[in-house]
Amino acid sequence: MDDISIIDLYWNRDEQAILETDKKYGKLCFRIADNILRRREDSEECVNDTFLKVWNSIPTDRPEHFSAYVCLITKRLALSKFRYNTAEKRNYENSLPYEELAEIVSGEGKPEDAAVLSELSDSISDFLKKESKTNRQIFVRRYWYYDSAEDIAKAFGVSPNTVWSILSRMRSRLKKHLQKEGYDL
Amino acid sequence: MTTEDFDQAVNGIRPEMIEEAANIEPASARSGRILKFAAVAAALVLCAGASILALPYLKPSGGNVPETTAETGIGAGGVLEDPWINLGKKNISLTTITEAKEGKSAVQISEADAKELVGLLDQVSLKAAADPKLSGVSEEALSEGYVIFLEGGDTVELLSAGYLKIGDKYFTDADGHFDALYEKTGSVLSAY
Repeated sequence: MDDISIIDLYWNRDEQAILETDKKYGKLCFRIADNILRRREDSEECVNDTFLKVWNSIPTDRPEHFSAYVCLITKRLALSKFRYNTAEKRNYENSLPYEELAEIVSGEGKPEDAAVLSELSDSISDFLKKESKTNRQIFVRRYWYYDSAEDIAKAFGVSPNTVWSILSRMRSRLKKHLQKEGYDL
Repeated sequence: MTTEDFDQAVNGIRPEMIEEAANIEPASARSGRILKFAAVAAALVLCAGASILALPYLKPSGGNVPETTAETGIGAGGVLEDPWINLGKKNISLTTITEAKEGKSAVQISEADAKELVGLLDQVSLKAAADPKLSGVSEEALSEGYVIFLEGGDTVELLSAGYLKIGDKYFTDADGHFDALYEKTGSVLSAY
């Protein structure tokens, strides 16, 4: 079923909407959650919470990019749960690919406000738009979906070393791009 | 800026990019249109103290190979007569490489380095690609990289954005050997 039809089911408050969402995006949502939480029970709970959240949000939302909308809800819920789970251990920076991102930013300073982060998101998107489709997909798979280099390599039919090389060069170009845009990284 | 902030910013990239990355065609489905760098002559010729290596030629193993003509063939030589990009028509040598930057001069490399680069080049499987500029890849991303000089002034450009440029044609590597070649070329160059 196409996304528009699924959204229509939500608008009609038809519970089939949840089944269709699960059928189409359930595995993807689970992967996103599990890349973050690394615990099957938590990940499954997160996916169920996603469907509930989508049910409660549509209406009034009518997302233009439904899969991204669902994925983003899953990711937010998973990150929230992850931070809750690791609040005492304070080790989440070691679990997500922050070490790689630390090649781009200093890792120091106070948290930025939402407006700056929103502009930065646009700037990162501008950078990605100018990259080749494959590079862009690999970057997003690693730093948005948190997929492992091995999984990305399988999806693209290349070696993990190739994935690491592409990501390394992209991080270097992204840093240059952001510095040119005036960001104090 | 903290890494967590940066991570949040990555979270906010445009939704179409999130969708695009989720919908990846399986690797097996993409392997239909592949040109192979066939391992042919690896004849090593020494010339005036410089290493000269016969390069393998590019020959097709699949369809959709871009047509080449005398006008659109490899570099200045433009010697192509058949539909394939064929480096084997001449006794191609690899003696010099350079960084793809204005003002950078070519560096003559040793026989051993040249041999290693030829070996890596030999492993690359070419897949014809549309001009990446048409799909929005920036000039900047296409201007970083290295140039391998072949006999007669022909060149193979290894672009940081993941493309090989031969003459005016762009290729991607179907078998994942491009990066080894790219990294090795960079490390060889940095040693001179």
